[in-house]
Amino acid sequence: MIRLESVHKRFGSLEVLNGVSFEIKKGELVALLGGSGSGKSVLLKHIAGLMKPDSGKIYINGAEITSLTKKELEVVRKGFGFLFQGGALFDSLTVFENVAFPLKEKTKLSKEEIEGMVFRYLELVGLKGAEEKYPSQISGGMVKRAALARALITDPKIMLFDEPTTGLDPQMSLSILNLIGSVHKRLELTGIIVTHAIPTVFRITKRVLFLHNGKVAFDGTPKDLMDSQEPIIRQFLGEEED
Amino acid sequence: MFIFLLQSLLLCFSPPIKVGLFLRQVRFIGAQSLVVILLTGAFSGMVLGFQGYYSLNRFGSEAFLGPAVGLALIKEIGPVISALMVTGRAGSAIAAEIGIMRISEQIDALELMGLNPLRYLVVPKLLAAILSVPLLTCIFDVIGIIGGYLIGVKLLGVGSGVYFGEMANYVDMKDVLEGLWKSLSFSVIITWVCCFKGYYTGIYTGFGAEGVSRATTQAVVTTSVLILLWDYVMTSLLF
Repeated sequence: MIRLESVHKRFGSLEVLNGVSFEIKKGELVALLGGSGSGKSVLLKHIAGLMKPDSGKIYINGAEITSLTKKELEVVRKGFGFLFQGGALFDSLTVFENVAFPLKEKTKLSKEEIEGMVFRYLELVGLKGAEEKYPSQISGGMVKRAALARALITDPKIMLFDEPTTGLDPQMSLSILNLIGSVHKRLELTGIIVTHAIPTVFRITKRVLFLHNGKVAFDGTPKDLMDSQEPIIRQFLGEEED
Repeated sequence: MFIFLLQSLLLCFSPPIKVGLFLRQVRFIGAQSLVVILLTGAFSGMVLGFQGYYSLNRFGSEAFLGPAVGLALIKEIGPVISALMVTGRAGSAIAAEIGIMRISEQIDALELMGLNPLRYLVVPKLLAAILSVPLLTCIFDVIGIIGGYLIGVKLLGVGSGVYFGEMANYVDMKDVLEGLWKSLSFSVIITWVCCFKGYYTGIYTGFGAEGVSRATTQAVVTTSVLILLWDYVMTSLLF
């Protein structure tokens, strides 16, 4: 479903991705871990086709996306959902309008159907009552939840979550991760979650990738990660464990 | 930069046009620029009235104050100052708005939804400017001519009939069209440069608040210089 072959990306003198390779099968939900600035978000943007690698190949459903034109990429992206780190809600639209936006623009659903779906997803993420508020009028955590509702409402086949729980309280983090887990099971979506919520995220993922120095330094199960004696992993877990 | 303009212009002719966004931009670029256009138009006309009267008076030709004010406003000052005012008021805001959307990943979000950001962010502004800027220029011209009338006729004693009569004799439809063509092309320059600078915030200007601030400054400076440069090119072509 998603395959990366020796992906390199450099910003000036800083090599952010230094030969990243891995494969994620259909229906697999993977946690992508790594220290701050290790290139996790950059990697997600490469998979979404928002950035092009300096070298290497990225395959989505068998299609090599780094050489696709904008139009061809649009077709590949149809089944994509992306939760941005900052939410990326449109600040001129209300929460309701933001969540309804992809349905309004990309489907032929009636106004009533869209309304019903939006209310359902907003309730799912605990945002009932915030429909008419603008992103600037709600907290960072609420922005993140509204963005999650917007990302999930189109029932994507591939979902990329860039720190979905950052800025949320532990209870809300857990409920968001549970929501991601249930959507993953229901839709059999393939997904990558960039997160620092360790070990909470291991409740819904069976595989972990650990990014270090621009490379995948660990690829295995959460248990293997927790048992690992690698100094960089021990150091990371010491910093991140909640 | 030219590809950006070409893509945006092509999208203007390929539906769907986002009517709601277009109307919002007509209000923002057009209606909300009205006060500044009225003020600058009135004072430009009044200054022209003074300067024109004292210059023409030396040759005993005050009777030509009307055509002097009319031609200067309609062909040159109206289109150029209107465009510069719209650049300062709306162009800077356009660059900042799109720049903030870029750095807060809202443009990436549009792309990931399989939507063309240019259709949502540039086309409505481009069409609104094409409609609004020539209209604002017309208003500027009319208010300027009234300003010149107040100074020339009411204050300095040129005959009212002479002011408007000579203006009617010397100002042709060709002159009016020349001014309108100019303002039409300026409207494209304003939205093209300001949208481009905002859209590529980060790539050419650096990220963060500083990047947006730099993009906005570059947008206003580049647009203003291009307006004056293009004004020269058009004047030399249209004469």
